[in-house]
Amino acid sequence: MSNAAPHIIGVRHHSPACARLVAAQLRALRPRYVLIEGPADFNARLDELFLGHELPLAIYSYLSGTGVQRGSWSPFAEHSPEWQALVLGRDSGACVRFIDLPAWHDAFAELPNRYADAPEAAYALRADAYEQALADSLGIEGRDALWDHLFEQETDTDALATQLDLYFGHLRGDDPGSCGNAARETHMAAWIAWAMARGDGAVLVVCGGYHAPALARLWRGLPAAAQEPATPQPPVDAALRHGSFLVPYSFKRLDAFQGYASGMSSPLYYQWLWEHGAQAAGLRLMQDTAQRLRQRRLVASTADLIALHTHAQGLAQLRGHAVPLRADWLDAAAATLLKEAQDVPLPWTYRGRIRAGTAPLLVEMMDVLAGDVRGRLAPATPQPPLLAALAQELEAAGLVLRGELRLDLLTPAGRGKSHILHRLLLLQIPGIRRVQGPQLALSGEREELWQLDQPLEQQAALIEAGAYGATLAEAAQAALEERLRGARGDVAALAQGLNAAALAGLSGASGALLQDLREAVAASAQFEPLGEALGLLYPLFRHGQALAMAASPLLRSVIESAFDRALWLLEPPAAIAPAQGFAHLRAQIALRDLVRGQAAHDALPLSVESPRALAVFARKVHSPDSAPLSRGAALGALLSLPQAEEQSGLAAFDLTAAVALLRALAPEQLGDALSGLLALAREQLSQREDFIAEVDRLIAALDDADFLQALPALRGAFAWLPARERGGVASLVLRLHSATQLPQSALTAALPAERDAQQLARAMQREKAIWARLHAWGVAAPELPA
Amino acid sequence: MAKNNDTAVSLQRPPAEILYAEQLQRLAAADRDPRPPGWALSLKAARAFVLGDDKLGVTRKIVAPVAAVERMLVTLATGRGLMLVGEPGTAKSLLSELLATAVSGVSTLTIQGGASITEDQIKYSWNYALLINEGPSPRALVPAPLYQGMRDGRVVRFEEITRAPLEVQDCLLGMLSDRVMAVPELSGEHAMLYAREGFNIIATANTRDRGVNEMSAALKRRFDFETVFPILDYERELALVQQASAELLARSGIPHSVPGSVLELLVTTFRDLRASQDGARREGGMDRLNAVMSTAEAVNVAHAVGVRAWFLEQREGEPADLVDCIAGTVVKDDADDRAKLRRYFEQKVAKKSGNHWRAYFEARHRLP
Repeated sequence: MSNAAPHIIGVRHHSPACARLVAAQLRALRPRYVLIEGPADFNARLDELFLGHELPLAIYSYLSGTGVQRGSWSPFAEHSPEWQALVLGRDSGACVRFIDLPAWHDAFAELPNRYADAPEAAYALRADAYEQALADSLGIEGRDALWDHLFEQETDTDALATQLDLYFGHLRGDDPGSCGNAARETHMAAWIAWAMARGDGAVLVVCGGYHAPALARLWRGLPAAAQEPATPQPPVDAALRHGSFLVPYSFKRLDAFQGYASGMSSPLYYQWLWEHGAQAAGLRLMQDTAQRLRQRRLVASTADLIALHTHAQGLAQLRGHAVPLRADWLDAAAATLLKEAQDVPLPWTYRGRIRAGTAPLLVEMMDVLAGDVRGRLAPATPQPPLLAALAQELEAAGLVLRGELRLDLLTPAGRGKSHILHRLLLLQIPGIRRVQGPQLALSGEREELWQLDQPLEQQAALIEAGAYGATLAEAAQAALEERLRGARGDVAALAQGLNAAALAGLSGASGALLQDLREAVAASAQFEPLGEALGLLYPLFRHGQALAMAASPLLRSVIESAFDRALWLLEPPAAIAPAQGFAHLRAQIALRDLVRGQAAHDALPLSVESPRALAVFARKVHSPDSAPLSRGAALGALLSLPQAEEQSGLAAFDLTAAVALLRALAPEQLGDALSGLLALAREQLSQREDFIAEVDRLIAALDDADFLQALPALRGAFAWLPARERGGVASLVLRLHSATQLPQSALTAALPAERDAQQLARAMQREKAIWARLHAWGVAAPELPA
Repeated sequence: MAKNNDTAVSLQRPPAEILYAEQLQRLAAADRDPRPPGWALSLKAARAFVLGDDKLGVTRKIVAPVAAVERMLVTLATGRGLMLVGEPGTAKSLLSELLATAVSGVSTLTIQGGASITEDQIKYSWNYALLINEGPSPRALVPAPLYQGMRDGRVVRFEEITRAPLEVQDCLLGMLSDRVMAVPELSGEHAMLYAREGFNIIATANTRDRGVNEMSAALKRRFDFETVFPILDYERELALVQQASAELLARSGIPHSVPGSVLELLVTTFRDLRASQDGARREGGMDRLNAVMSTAEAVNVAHAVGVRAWFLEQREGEPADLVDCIAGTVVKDDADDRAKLRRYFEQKVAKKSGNHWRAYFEARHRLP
């Protein structure tokens, strides 16, 4: 049989059981050919893999040119079946080859991780359905638990091989797969046909379980070539660069792959499983978890650990495992260590990022299992492409990383250099320091001062950063995405991150990140920071041409969801702390500007519904429980939006509405509402004589005590007017009181420095009271002093 | 759910051990696995009793994650107390009833926690006529559930434990750690009641009562906590509401069940307002209502929709009925919730597409 058919082992990537199977088969079979799913363009450089690196590492393949930026990783850990095939195949003197398409191929356009569980989204759905059915009938929950239950127990390798075949056969069925996968499989099958045609020894193929059934069918149909199948070459294009390089990798990144690009989580646990077996891995898990929990001052007493251990054994017995597996240990920990009700499901029962609200204990545990092992490349390894790309870029820009550098941001050259340096900052490369420069990307400042240096650790940091991408832009982009994800819904941090993106001139983003950001923004709990972020980001979106940020999808996504969320948070009545007042108004202004900008600007459509915003503003105005500041501002927003009347279908808002609002309020609330009104509808209101007259009448109607109460807020309200408009108001007031002989400055002049208005008003009131009393007793002058 | 015998038919709500007596028998007969000491069934059979086993004709009695049920059973088997916590209406009591039945064959050793509960309702009290006549004697002692459970090696259920005053909660401490109850009034062998194998406690607590009578750390330590979530899977919850509401409507003598589109509105609204996070269907950004948005409550609302539509106008339920019923049965008189519900309609429902969603949105003026 060994010569009639190739031995195709379909594996789950990073599964220790599969790695064990591969190793056993290699030893038993001593194949002449070991064909591995991996980038074929790396075949010439396979030796580089054996220089004595510390795993995990990855082959990073990239393709970059104008309009195309593509990168894909093929990560290896020691317990990866592919790695075992490589090492053992080479040791036994077999002919070892990677047989998959290079990662710059179109087949990988949407796949950042070659060794994903499901190489396409459609398949992921199908696999989910199959696994769900299997899990239901076995009474097991979750793909990882199911996999462990079926395959990661220490079973006989022959039985394991049969079971894997059956499992992957069912998973794939007759599905032909997407175009990309068909191309990959044809290429892999061509290699198998080649090796079989040689006929000088057994052929062992290690590939993803998804491909195995297809390869077994396909290779026979292909002509037996005498030559090794040629690796396709990318289109010849001077601007197009491509290549594959070794980069150091880390377990954390292996753990973090999301969605259908994900593989097995908790890599450190599986490393233990590979090295020491399930029994020892379990003990290690308990030991390391306990240690970490104690470090973090979370409860893990000896009694707890005894209970955990017993519980895990009990679960294993109930579930028919000889030794507790990962899910048994985790479930046991959840049962015995948690002493509170949980708000979200346990992190190992779903796929993807750990949800907010997960108990700290569980977060720590998952972190322990992910491990913080980092790979390290042997010194002689060719450097990742990033270093060469960076050197080129620096030379092209005429940048030398030494000494002090002053950049003029208004010149394209200066801006270009600034982008390079900011990208290095994003990658946290030592030796790059910005001493001076604008905080906000869109501020008016036009100079930056940098302090540059090349310390020893710079090179090392660059090699590590090489894992992020092949060019500076790509790497910085990946680092930025990581940072934005890390903000975890903290809107201020998010806005900061986007600001950094603008400074570095990075405007693109992956779909997954956009989804993450949407969710993060949708979960934020406060209106004011959201509004302020909008105020920062929307101008960047509208006017950021110079920064290449205009119409950036990244910004679009954050702005849209922030708008949605801000409206949601604005509506319920809430008290506004005095310290928050300014921020609240700024936020409402940002919302208003967005609505106004949308009406005026069709070129950059956002999917924000202006009518909804108008309806929220209108409801806010009429909500008696809301803070007067907020109501005034909402009314101001409506007054300042000319399209409000046509679009909202609401009763028109005009001056009478403003007057009615002010009249309905208590004296101490007057100033707040007026602040809101003037902050948002200054142009519409401040020069209207009838409005000013009405306000004047309202103020005149206040009695002395009320006036004193209302005064600070009223003064605050007029502070929203620029000096010139304040002058206009002053002359209106003078006219109303028939005092046109006085100059405007009689009302607008600054008070003497040592007194504030409040003091003056209080003094006047006291004085008046004294005079009144003197008058009552008949001891005062007949006339009150003017 | 098969009606097993005459008793089951005539009782308003028969306990699990009567309702499923036949299934219990079948499971026990087929049970070959080792049983934990004092248990009526093995762990596997107990799991099958709760989650169903098609081969033996055992029905699934609750929608709950397998792993969670397994954890609960192992907790009970390892002799630690089990504490079920969760929102109201997540079927904690049903779960505890089923577990007690599976483990001991009895679910009626139940203590109902409350502000007025005292120690003698938990441990034992006296038959005063005998007490006066004979003095303290085992004959004069009236055992309460905990005493019976310890004496007979059975599982005792303590419902709503956090509603009970702290001193009453703490009287469980000794029983849970030393497994012994002192009866100081008696002497000799009766002065100490040592728990037989099989005795354990399943307590339930409501997360809405958090902080009412917060359990002491010492007591918490003796329990394994298990959070019972509302049904995480949309399809499952929809199916459950559909089935349960259809049963209720049939019992009320109404020939229609609530149409699927209305149930979809109902279940989606409930899930949104519960701010549940179930991955794919996650909307995000909702504020949780104070009202209880459990599946049980959703069934009640669906029932109310059907009743209202049929008895008032002899027709099927419509989105507008749903608006009325949600407003009346769920939100009740909490002004904050009313505002949130209104905001949900104005901002979230407005954005959904589909005729039924539109009709739902149009009916928002019926909200209080």
